[in-house]
Amino acid sequence: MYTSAKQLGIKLCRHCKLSMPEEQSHCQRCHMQVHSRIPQSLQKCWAFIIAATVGLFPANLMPITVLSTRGAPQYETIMSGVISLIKDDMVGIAIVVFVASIVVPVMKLVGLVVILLSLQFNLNLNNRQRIVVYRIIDIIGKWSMLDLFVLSIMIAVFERNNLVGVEAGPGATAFGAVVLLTLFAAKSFDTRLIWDKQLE
Amino acid sequence: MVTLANTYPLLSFTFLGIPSSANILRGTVLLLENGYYLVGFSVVLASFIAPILLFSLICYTSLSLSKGWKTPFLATALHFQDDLIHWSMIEVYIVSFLVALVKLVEYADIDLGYGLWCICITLLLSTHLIQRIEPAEYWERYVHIR
Ligand SMILES: [Zn+2]
Repeated sequence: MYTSAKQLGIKLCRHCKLSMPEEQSHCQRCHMQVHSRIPQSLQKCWAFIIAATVGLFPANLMPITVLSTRGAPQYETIMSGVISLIKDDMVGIAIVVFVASIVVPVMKLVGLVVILLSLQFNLNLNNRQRIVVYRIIDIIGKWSMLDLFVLSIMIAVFERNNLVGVEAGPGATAFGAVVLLTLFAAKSFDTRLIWDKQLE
Repeated sequence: MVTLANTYPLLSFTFLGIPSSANILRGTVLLLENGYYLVGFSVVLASFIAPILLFSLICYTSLSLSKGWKTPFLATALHFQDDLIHWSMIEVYIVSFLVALVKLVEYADIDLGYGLWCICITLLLSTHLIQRIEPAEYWERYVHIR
């Protein structure tokens, strides 16, 4: 067995990594408030997860780009964008976009839910599995911004073009909100709760 | 380098004879003008504001700490520096650019702009730099010069 710093009455400053006795409220080195664990970590994380899950629906169902050619405006959702890439024989790019904008956000939410549920209901997952899931979530997180970057590049490219116009659609805001919410969800989870559970 | 990457045209290309060029800032300005504040703001933050601030802060803190100068707002700068590492998404941006490029090939003849090379260099430098940063080390030095 092992002992955690919390059991020894020590806590770590998350900002400058200085350890100090539990009763101290502020870090003496960087003067930030220090908590032994992120306060209400699980509740915050759940709140962000639920909000992001709700946002996934408008993000995927509403158009994120509006292409106006000479005819009627063409509304594209994330998925229809991917499909039209496949039709144009750009399978590689289609996979990149699909993974970044659909697989990554969904995987992040599912992964966090699995970790949280396994902690709250003592499911059969060991700490190593939990922390591996968390690390993956943390690393892949920022890649879901990809489609928004692509969108803003396309808008700029077609700005002064009379034949093809590209504009953002309402789904873009929903998608942006989902990306930010999943980033906050991952940040609000305190990985140290994983070992606390085992030491109880 | 980041400034160059964001203001230089990324690519100039001819669309049915009409020359046009693009950079990411123009795209976000248009997003904001059309009322897409959340999208525009997060894009400009992750691709422009965060990387620029991050690199200037790193220069500032590294210089002050290595020379042992007691410069103002050093602690605040160090705190910001740690947060900004999460918001600087240059590597995502470069892949997005490549995706956009491939999408554009069907519309037009494309000449790659100088901006692309600037971004590639920035990407290499920044990933190298961020890997080497150890926040605790900065703070240890910080205590010595106070
Ligand atoms: Zn501290």
